[in-house]
Amino acid sequence: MDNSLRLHHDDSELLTDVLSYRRLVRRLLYLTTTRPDIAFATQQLSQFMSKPTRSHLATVMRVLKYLKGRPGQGFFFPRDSQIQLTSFRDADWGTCIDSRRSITGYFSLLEVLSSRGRQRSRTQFPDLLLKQNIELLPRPLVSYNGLLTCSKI
Amino acid sequence: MSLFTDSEPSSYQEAKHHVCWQEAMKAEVEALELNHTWTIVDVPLNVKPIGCKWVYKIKQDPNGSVERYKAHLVAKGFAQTEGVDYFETFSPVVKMAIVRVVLALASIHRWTIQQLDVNNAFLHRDLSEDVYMTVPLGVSVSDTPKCCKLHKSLYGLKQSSRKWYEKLSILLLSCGYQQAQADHSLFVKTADTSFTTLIVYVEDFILTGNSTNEMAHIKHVLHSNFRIKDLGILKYFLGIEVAHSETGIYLCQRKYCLDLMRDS
Repeated sequence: MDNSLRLHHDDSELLTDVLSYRRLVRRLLYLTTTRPDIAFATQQLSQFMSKPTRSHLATVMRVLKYLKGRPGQGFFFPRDSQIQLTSFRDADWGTCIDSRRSITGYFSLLEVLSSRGRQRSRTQFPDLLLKQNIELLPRPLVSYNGLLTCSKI
Repeated sequence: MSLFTDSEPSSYQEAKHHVCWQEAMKAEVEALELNHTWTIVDVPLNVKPIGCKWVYKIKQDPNGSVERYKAHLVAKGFAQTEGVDYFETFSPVVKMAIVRVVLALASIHRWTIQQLDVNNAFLHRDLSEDVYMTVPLGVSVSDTPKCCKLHKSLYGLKQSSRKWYEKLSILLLSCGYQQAQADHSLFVKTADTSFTTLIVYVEDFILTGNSTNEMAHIKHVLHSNFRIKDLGILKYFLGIEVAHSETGIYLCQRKYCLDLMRDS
């Protein structure tokens, strides 16, 4: 998504084919299972399901073009990692134009202390922290039994 | 009358002209009757039976050739009335985040990940409510008005998935599995050093853990209660492709993503 773009309920032409917009965004939502890179854009687009306009559809098309570059991108879980939970979150100081509320993003990582992972983490995080609304794990995971007893953040 | 067809008919009227669909419907009715899904009764007073419908599906193998013709009988659950023929309908499915966590753990610990699939999951559970359904087209009865009183749940009923989940969770709990608090579709069994976990997405299961004995045991238990299909190592689950290698596990939705772009 274009960094300078702030999607909102704008005045541009309403779409005639609302259903196909909804279907597309619905499918993008499911795609975020293995594509956290489009999570923020999809969250934004899903705010306009009731009244999508031309500018929203243009953003959907931009996301599709981005996806077309690497349709097979996904997650890799390396075997040589150690279990360590890291969690980040941030809010954007009320930038939603329609409601003047903040958008909160959070990102949890169950990984990786090997040298390669650490390096990759460093390069990814600043970007994710600032711009994306990402979810990998909804709740902290303490140990194996943590699967049974973990609590809400 | 043609023997085979490439298209999926949308109604009984279309399908009855093809031998392949006739046979598929016959097989479905036989399976349902064998399972004692219904008894044919007179229509009780003040009862309006809910409708039913045939749904036709051509199953294809990965090369695109026809594997088999499948006819499904579904009840028109939208005609059901709350408090009369159904009560609770909620049934949980697993959160995707849980799937990712479990796969990440399995990767780190080099557990084998297996996939199981249940045949006709919804048909196993007894119905406690009185549900009356019209006699499906293709089942011959005498001329007087009759209807089917359902004893087992059928696809399309509002309570089907809940009934199935109830039955499955009772079975797993009795085998010593614990339900995770974070997600009720995640079942975990820990004993001494062994750790086994089962993820449930309606009728698709992912089974993983460090004890091959326990995994074989639970598969046996599941198989003796329901008919399950062992799909082997996890490769394709809910549109997510899973690739295993020496260095790790890779998840992607390549096919889903390509389909999405083709349709848009």
